[in-house]
Amino acid sequence: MKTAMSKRKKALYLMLMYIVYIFVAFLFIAPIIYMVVSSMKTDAQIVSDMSTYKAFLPVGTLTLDNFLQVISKVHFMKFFKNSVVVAIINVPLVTIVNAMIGYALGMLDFKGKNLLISLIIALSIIPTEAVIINRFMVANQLHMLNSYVGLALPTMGYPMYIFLYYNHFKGMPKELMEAAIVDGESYGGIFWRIMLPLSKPICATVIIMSFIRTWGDLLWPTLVTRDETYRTLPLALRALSSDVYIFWGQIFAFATLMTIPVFIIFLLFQKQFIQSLTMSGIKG
Amino acid sequence: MSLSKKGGVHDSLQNCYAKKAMRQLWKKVMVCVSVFVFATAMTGCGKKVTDPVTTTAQSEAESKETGSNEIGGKETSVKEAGSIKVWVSSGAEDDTYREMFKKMETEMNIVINDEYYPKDELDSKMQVAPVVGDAPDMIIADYLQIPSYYEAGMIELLDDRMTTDMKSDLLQSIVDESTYDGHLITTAQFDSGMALWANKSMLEAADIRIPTSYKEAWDKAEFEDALAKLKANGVKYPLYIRQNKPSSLYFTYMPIVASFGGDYINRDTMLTEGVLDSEETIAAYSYITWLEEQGYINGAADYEDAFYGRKESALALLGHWKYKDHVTNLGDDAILVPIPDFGHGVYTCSGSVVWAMTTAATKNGTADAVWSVMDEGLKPEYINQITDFNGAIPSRKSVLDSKEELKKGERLYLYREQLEAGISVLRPLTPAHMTIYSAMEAAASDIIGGADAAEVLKDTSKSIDDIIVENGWSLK
Repeated sequence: MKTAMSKRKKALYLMLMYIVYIFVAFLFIAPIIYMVVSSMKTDAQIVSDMSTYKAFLPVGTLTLDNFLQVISKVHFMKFFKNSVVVAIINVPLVTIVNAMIGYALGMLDFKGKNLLISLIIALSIIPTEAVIINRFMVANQLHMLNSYVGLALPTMGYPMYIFLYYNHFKGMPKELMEAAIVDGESYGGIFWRIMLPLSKPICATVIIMSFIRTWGDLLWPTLVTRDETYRTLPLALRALSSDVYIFWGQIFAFATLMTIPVFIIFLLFQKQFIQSLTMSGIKG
Repeated sequence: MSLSKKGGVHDSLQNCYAKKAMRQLWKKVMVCVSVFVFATAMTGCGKKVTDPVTTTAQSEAESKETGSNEIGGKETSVKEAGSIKVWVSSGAEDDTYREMFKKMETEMNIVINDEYYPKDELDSKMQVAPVVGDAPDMIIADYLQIPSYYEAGMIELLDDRMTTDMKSDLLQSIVDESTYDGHLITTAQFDSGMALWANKSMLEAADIRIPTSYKEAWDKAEFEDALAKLKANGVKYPLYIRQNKPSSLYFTYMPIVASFGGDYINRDTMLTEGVLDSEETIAAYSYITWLEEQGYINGAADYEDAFYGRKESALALLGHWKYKDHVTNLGDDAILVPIPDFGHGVYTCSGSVVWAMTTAATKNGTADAVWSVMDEGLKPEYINQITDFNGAIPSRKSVLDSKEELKKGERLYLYREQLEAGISVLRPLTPAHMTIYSAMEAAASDIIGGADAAEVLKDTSKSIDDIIVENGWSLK
């Protein structure tokens, strides 16, 4: 009798937990549903459904016109190409360069290391906006404005990623490195052949985070692009609204198309990403 | 020995796992890169651009690669007097400008390289343009951006270029706004029309008097009585002030602030202290709170169509730019009524998108070409082209009569009557304009959200003045 009661309680508890899970999951997925559904509605329909549950439902006349407009009139593909090129240059560099710095700080001993670590940690609390003009002046002096290189290179070093890698490498057994040195491996060889392969979860995390950062960056491209040739997706998205007008349908269609690559990247690296989160949980 | 052997096996296993892990990681990276490369290739293959601006931009990129000086059929690498670069603050009128420039190019044998950027982006680009050295020859932007460029030495004077006849044909509000530091620095094709849009049927159903001239405007008591009647008659939220986009209130709420006796800035000292935080201005903004408390406006509205779509409002504090939406959806029910007199008179406001020549034009030797384009833009056919599209008020008196809707007794006559009567309030002519605009957007948002107007405006005034003083923009 008692066992049956306890089983019923357990089932009830599980059911309640699932309801909470579903509710929380809905909170996260609701904006995406809103975006995708609205991308297929007319401006008038979107405005009329706003602030009602209908905003989340595919009601009214559904059309792909917004997507066609975004592709043919707003020239989505042109901006997409620019964003892709910038991401291709930026993400691998961010992943490798920051890993190298983190490796040196976490595993090697050299003079001034602690000062360097303190400086990098200090840098991470300085907002990008505070140094962007200085960075812009340097880019201008190096004739990097209005180019893919100008968009991708100056945002390559990022204190938070260095700190992530530093923490990761610091926690790795020194014996691994010592054994490799005994085997005649160089520091570079140790990094490429031993340390980097063992840092797969951190690499995946940095890839995802840096891709999202580059993909959605607005401020730097605003300054660096000096004409329409190298404009990226966020700049083009912003042009769809002003004080006076807002092209709702096109904004949602644009945002939907812009989100697809982020999904692809996340799906590709989600296993390592979750693994990295779990690892940091254990360490913490 | 066995331990060492174990260690060796362990190491080789670890190496094996590491290699496998690395292989998998690179595999994923390669898949990713392949997807991007494919997508990029697709965009290249599918490239079919008909838009002139995009064509120009892409051709520019191609010409950089090939070293050609041909840009979309335009010779631009060698700067000529007949080739000018124009930056336009992007808006609903973009396509109209494109058509206009295309026509001018053909008729005037001139090359106009026009590029369109959102307001904030254009402002960022202009601010760093002197450092980069790529300032345009001409800009078309909201006037509020111009004074700071002028103070930075980026705007050319037009006093000697505009004829007396042309100047006297411009609306006084246009001349007033275009005159800064005692000089004419801009031209404009249109001025804004600002009044209350009203739903005629709703007003009639609630038995409310409909004023047709600013001289017959409701006073405060009659306005509040009208709101009460509308509410009692089933109109959910009688007034819509575009509370979902508080940035527009900077402009649209200005006549109400003036009618309460307030202002944004002391126009003599160009500081906000004692004016923005004055009793009168606080009373004007506290009125929003009162309207919300009475249920006359919906502070939580996040939609645009309260007036013309949902019809939950009978009055809307919006300007000429909503003409198309309102007339299309409400037909003859969409009418204009003057903004009420809240104690210090009836006001409207004016302000425009202006055309300005930059000092870069003089350096580039294109000043004459730029002026010829600016002058051409003031021809009736171009003024009509843009005002037919956006419903604004033509900047030239001689063009006003050609507009049916602006004739006496017609739907938009009130706009014209108000501007001709000189009851329009101008936005502050100061380089701190963008600062005030951003600060007031935040202030209006807070007040709509329930914050105390007095507290918010005092804080806002202080923060604006700090910036004004720091930059030396005050006249004190």
